[in-house]
Amino acid sequence: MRKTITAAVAVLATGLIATGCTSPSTTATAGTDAPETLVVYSNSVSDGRGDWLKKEADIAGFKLRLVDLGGGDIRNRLLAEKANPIADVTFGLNNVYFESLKKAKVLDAYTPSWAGKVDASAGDEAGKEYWPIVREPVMLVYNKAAYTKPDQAPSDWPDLWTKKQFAKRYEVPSDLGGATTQMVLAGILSRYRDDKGDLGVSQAGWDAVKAYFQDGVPAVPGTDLYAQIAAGKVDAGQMWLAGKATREQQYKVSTEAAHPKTGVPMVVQQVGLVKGTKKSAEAKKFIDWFGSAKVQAAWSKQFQTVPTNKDALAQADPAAVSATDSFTEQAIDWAFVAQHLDQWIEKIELDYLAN
Amino acid sequence: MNGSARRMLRSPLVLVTGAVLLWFVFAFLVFPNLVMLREIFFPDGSFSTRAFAKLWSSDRARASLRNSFLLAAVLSVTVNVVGVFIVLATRYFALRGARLLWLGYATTLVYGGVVAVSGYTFVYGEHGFATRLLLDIFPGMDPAWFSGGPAVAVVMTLTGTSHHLLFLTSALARVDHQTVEAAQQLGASSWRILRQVVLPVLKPTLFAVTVLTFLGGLTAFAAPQVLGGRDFQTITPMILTFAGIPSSRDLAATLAVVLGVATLILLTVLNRMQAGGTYFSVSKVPSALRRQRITNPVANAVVHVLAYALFAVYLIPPLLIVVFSFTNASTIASGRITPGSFTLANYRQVLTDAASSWPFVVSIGYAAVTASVVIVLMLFVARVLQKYVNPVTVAVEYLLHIPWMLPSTLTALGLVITYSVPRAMVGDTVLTGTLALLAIAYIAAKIPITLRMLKATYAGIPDNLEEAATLLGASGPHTFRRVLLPLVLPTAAAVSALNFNSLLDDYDTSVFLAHPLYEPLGIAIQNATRSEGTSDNTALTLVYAVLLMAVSGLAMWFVYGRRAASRRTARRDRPSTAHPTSAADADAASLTRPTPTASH
Amino acid sequence: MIIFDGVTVKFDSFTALPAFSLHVREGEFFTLLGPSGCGKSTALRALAGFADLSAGDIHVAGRKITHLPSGKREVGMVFQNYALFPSMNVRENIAFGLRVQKLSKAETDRRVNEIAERVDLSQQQLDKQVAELSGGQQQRVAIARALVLRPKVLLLDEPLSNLDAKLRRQLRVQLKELQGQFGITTLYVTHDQDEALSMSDRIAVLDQGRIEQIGTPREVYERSATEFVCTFVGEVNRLSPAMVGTLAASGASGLDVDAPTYVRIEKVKVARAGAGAGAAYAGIAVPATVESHTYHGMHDVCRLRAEHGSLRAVLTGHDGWHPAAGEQVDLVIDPASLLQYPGSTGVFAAAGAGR
Repeated sequence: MRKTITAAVAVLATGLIATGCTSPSTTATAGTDAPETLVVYSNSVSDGRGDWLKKEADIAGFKLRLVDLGGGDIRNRLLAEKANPIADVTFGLNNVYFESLKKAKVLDAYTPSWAGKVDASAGDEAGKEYWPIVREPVMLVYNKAAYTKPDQAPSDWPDLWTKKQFAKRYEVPSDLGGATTQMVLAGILSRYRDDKGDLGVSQAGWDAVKAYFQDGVPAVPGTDLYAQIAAGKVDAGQMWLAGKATREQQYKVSTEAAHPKTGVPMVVQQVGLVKGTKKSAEAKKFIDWFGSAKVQAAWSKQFQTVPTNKDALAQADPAAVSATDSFTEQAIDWAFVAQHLDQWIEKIELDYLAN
Repeated sequence: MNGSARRMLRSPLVLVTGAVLLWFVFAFLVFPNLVMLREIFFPDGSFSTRAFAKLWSSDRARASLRNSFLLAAVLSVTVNVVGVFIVLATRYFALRGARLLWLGYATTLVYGGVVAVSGYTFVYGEHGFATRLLLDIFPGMDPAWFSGGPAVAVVMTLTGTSHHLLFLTSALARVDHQTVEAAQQLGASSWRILRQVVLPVLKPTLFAVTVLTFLGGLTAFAAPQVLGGRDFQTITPMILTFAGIPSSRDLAATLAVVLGVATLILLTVLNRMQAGGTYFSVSKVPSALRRQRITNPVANAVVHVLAYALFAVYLIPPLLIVVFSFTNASTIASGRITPGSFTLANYRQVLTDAASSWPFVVSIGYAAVTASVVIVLMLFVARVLQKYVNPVTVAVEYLLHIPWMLPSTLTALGLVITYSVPRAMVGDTVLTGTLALLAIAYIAAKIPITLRMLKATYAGIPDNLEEAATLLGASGPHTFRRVLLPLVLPTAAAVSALNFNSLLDDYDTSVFLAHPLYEPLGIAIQNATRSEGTSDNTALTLVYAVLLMAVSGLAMWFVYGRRAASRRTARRDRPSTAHPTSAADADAASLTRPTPTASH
Repeated sequence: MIIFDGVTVKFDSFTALPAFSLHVREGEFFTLLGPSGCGKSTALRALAGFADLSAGDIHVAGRKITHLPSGKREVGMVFQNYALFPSMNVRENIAFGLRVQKLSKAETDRRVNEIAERVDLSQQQLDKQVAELSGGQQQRVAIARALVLRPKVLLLDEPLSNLDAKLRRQLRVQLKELQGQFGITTLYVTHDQDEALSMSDRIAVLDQGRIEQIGTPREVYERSATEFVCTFVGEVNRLSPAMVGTLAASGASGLDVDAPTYVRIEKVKVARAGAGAGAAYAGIAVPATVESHTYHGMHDVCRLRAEHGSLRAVLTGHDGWHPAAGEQVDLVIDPASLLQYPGSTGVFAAAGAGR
């Protein structure tokens, strides 16, 4: 009996000691944040980006705590924490998410020092609550080895479900929560805008989405598209620019992106100041620093992104810039998308998802 | 009734705890759910039927609901068949290497959810070992054979037997050996004895684990999502998706309510069926069950072969998880191990990088703290509820079961929505964004099972032990501490270990409630599998899985392994006194609601 | 020593013990005897402090204990299943009450060893777990645990009922010897008349919460005060009114032919047919046939059929005569041994005579 008790205590003690361990932040422990430590929510700090940013910020005199979450989770968190905000700054989400954050009054207006260097219309031109930092095409990629001639490969999304040879050879998402997935769907549905149709989309548009999911191979949760391509299960699927290069290397496959005439959805990542932050001054300083040409150029070189800051563009990673510029930007009315996206996702989830 | 209430109110300790408990129940179990349901179903003050209409017209929603219930029904049969077999093979029949077999079957105690599914994929998936073997024999077969409803049922059957292993094993230990001997004397065959003498005694426990199995099937998450494919998706992934979209939460809540109602009906029906009577030993001098030799040589051989085949099926997936955690990403993806595949990089990354190991520390901390709080709270509450039966205590007990009726996702959502503004109930503070909120949700989620197990254990302690202590002059607290507590502690330790293990990799509560700077492991694993990152993190997930298995295994060993060891060295001729001494002894009460991601 | 004065115990609307009064003398072994549900255990539990009194008082050794908590009543109790604490070893069980009183370790040890010696528990047994002891040893531990606190009275709640017959007989002796050795006033509760008769100084027979008779075992057995006592204690034959009439006609005087009439089975004598009254036994002879015959070692029991009903009789068989089934015999009844309850309802007839 006594042994059991000792054992239980030991297990619990292990846990307690473990909790007592210091958190990964070397400079400050959360909860009792030193006033200058900024909490930043982002969906773009995985794969070493966060570590790099923290190091660079440290040199520049900022102490950061980065919170790595998916796009939808960041939105839900910021909405929930409205009355007791933890985050000071958030970046990485696209304009659709930022638009809904703005509507929920989660953000504060601030004009960064580099505001003049970016195309304000790519962000919140009227409200000045969020500003563009990076733009990135969302692409249809395919396995080069799967097609003997380039013209046999799909050239635009509708090819996938209108041409029989692609049926069951491309991957479709099985979870609609991801930002890339939502951009692909927004790109498809925007082509069928019809204010009299269901949720602003004509029946033809919904039929297209239905066919897209019906002819596709659902993604397996936890298994990457490139792993599926390498395994020969599918030949095509969705990918963003920076993801393509790293995955080609990792899975040893060579892929090509389709260049549709209509263009591709160009995701513009934004940065914004969270309303109610107690470190407003420091947060503003961080935004000024982060969006500056120097930092954005370095970020680009490191992670193959394309900055929106015109001054940064000159020193940015040339391959990424030329790759991005090779795409036409699809004309998408982002306000229209922001208004309907949640309902679209709901409808697709209920009626069209492949699984 | 009145007498009970009056006696209860006499103790100041009971009064204070009662007040705290009532506050907790109302503030964190009742109120948040009411707030949420109101916001969802009465958005403008009038009842909205939008959600019902939407769901009813969706083929996919209807199919998912049907699949969830189908899966639950199928599992209720298959898990019982396999579960009963493994318990009999290890504890009833005299099989060679029964202890080794038990260890293999016990792997389900330390891993589950998405980790278990990936383990089975390593074996039967398209690049799995077994699949490649089969392809050599039948070159024409579909490499993706292991998918759809049957595959989901198989994986969930094999990973769903942990409750049998815990609860049925101890119920079996209480079978009076004399009844077996009596049946033998009357000329009954082994098979007849099993069917007509032994199994009827296990019936109440089988009922209880069937409830657990059914609920597990109903809320299935990982297995259908990964293996279900196009034709076999279930309801929980849909609930999670809709819960994440603010404008679609009414759909999530409606689906959750459907599951809640089903749970309620099931519990009511089974309680009715169970009210029939107890089947436990009526003998005044029960004798300990001894293992039965299978006399028929053919039957003996068949049972041995089956038992060892199952052993392999149970053991290989977790084994492969361990092996693959030492390999690189492309090996994991292709399933082909070459001498060059092995690497320590995955472990180096998790163990040396503070950011990678932090979620592990957070989860262990949260799980340990909340498991301890729950057990301390419930040790007291269960005693009060068991001792004083009056309308108030009965009502409180029902309310404490709320976390079983609603999926954890929904409860979490209710807490977030309710406490994202200052509420008088919690001293006008905002709880959202504090460390406490997740702890509260964890505690609430683990109350029902802890309460039921402890209450049943208390009920198993004869009243006159307490009377004897009182008569010898001991005060209430002294009696509780010296006499009752030592008797329920084994159960408490076992429940705590179960709670601890199941909280370690929780995802669906944490994703809504975790403090962003203190994110538990479940979120880290999901983030790692999320395809938004620039590189593939499957290897990291496997390392987390192995570490999880190690910690869970350690917790189980502390509780069960050590006890088994000390029992072996101190085995007596006489059957020990009939007081329940383990969690598993609390038979019918041992109901748990597995969460979609973490199901231990 | 123990005084129950109008003690009433109610459970909700059910009155388990209505105005119960009883006086137990110092040093006495006093038994409460009755069928289950007669209130004997309730009386015991009221004395121990486990039942709420709705009226009346209880005194022990001149002290009113009605409102004292259990632990302050100086009452020791041995439970039906002994209620030994399974989480403690024998020594800890016995020392439990002493530890509660915060006696010094030396004093505790001394008293535990002293009591252990008196109840014949060895030092090795003291260090065993309770589950390792035999039933008889467990009983001695339970008694030691109760007596080590030197209570004024000892309560025994059916302590023998869970044991097998032989052990029960042994422990009966052990209990009685221990009680005599300590000289402690003992209140014993049982439904077993053999136990009550063989162990008690005095017995109170209870039915439905009321005391039917208080007396020595001999009084209760031979001069049963009520029809209930007569039928509950020992084995009796109920005589049919016709049989009583026959006896009255044969010269028995003072018989009330209409009253329920009983005779204990060992008072019915059997003689060879025609031997006549007075030859072998005093009393009135009635011709009868042996219906059945059972062997019990020390004696035989015969079922005899006479003209006005059948009776059972005990045959000691010391003269070597064993009448066979079907044999004609005379049964002899001494009218002085008849128990008559004029004015009684006769409701116990079936229960009594049937046995």
